[in-house]
Amino acid sequence: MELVVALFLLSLSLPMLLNLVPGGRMAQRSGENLQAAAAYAEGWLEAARESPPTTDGVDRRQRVVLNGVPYVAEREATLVAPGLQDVVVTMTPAGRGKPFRLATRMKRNVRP
Amino acid sequence: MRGRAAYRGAAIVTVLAVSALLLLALLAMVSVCLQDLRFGSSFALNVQSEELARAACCQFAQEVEQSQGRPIDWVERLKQPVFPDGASRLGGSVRVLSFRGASSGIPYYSVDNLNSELPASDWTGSLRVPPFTLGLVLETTVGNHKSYYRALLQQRWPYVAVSQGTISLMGTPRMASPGQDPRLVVSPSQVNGNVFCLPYAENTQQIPISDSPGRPMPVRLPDNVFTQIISSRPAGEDVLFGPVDSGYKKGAEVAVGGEIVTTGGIAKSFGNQLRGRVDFNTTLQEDPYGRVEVGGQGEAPPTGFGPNQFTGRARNGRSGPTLQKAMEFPATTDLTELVPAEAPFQTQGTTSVARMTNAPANYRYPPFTFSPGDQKFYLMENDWSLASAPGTSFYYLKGSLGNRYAEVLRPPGGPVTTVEHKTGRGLSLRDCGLFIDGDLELADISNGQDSQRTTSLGGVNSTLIVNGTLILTNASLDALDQGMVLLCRRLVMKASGNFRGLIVVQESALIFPRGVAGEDDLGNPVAPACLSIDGAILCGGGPISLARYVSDELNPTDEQIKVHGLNLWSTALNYDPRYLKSLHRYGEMRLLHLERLP
Repeated sequence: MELVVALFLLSLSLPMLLNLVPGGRMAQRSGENLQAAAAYAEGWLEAARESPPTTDGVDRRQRVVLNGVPYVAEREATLVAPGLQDVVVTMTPAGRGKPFRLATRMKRNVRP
Repeated sequence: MRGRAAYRGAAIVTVLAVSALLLLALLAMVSVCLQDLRFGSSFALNVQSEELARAACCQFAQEVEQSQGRPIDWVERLKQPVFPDGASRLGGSVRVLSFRGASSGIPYYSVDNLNSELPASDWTGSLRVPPFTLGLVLETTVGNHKSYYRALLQQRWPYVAVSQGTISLMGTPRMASPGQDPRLVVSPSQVNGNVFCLPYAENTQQIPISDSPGRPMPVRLPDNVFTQIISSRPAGEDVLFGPVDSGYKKGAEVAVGGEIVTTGGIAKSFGNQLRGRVDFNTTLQEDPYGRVEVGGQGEAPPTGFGPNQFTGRARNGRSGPTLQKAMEFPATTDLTELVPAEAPFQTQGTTSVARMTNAPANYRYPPFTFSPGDQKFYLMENDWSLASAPGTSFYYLKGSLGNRYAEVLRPPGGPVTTVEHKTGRGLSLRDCGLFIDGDLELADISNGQDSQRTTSLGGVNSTLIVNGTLILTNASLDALDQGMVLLCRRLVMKASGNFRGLIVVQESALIFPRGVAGEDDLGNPVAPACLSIDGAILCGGGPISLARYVSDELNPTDEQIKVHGLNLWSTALNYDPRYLKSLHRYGEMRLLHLERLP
């Protein structure tokens, strides 16, 4: 009887415990994806600082695969004051993932 | 029976133990996974926070840029929201911690060290805020995540030399004895710091040779000085201190060494060095916008000399509105506006000044000055040593001043002759300003032999404004650690010494070494006494013309030298921000350092 009880307990707890594996793995993947997206977006802002956008609107759009996840990366500039613009990089994952957004403010060089 | 019961009990214990071990292993794995998630989220939040902090720094830098040199009250500014437009796109908020010390349990605070030439300490007690720098502590909030950043924003005038026209660095040709190479050029020039070069102004190409009122006259120099200058000039089509290539007159050019006309033929100046960045302006659609001409490239320099060097890079289009405003200053400012209303010695006559100088009443306005009209010339028969007195920190002199006066004699029926009166007296200023509404010419008549007289023009924490031409002929120029500001319309200098401060010239400047490069009686080489300048020079760039002083009748056929831009001969020019306080507010504010605080 005790053996049956033991096996019953094991059969109940084992799936629950094993279910932690994919959950944990998902969390790990999610963290890695976020990190990759943030690093990629930061790279685009660094590039923008070197060569700032000169007009309003989306000046760069690209499909990239980071960590096995396809993203659409987009950089948009908006003039907020004379010579000053907000630049926003949005990393939108394919599927149901939440987009990652990174924004900063930088100079806009206006050539005569 | 007992054995079976024990076996059953052991099965449960074993199952529970295995389950517990499995649980522990899985929890450890989940914990690692969640840590990865937390790390990823934290990384993303930190990146977002840092970009917010950078956005705030950029906002402040742009406000400085737009202020066009007007000072900003940072205490008041930082009470306002960092982003006046709300910055809804930035996805977070930024606050600047106050300058007034730590509060509300936060150990950090901001430090305003913008106007100091010394580093300042922050909450750590270390001198971590450099001179002329705002040390800001920024609190960023992204969602519920708060971070603190330390940002160092420095606002400094970035250039050691600015000129609207050519900037040239040359050495001085040696006067050689027979058998020696007459083309050896000694004492090369050095510039350490960034340089800004603008194209020539289109409307200032011609200098009329006329003494009619309102038209500029050439700067008349003593014969020996003129001879030395005209026999040492950059080689070009014209008698011109300016572009080496005459086909490049509309652009901006920086010449480091190159060909020089000497008494023995064409010589080449080696060993000149420009260590810094060269910026050109974008406002003219020139192509190319400007260039740095390094002379003698690919040629072997003479023994004892290195090649001409430009260690930096040239670029275009970095002049924002504030810098543009500062560029306009030398060329457009009316110097008389710089005189404080309370300046004493506002004399139309000679009363107070004559008492100081014993100026003879019959001296008349000398012909080498530009300003037309019936101005006085004061010959300095004594040394002038001005200092601030109670209620007096700025002096005003209506007329020209000097320690050399060339008097033109016209005996009836006889030839016109020139008689020079030289006193060799010096002018020194301490903690005060002097405005000379005319020219100033100072010459050392002892040629350095008089050990008691070493300084022709000196200053300590002082300002000298010459609303005319400043001429130093074989003179010495010294300004000590506290610095001096020289403003004049035209500058012709054959001088030596150590000058610490700022020189602003509305038109063009020519700086030559004192004395002559040559050999002593034993055949040993003698270098000229050179001038070292720590600080900066700004040059408006309008052309000036130099002529030999032979009489007050200007002979149209007499050779003249046209000077355009900033011409340094055997001069060391070093950037030193300590002496440029009046210019720093025109400089760009740049982010020196950004770090996340724990």
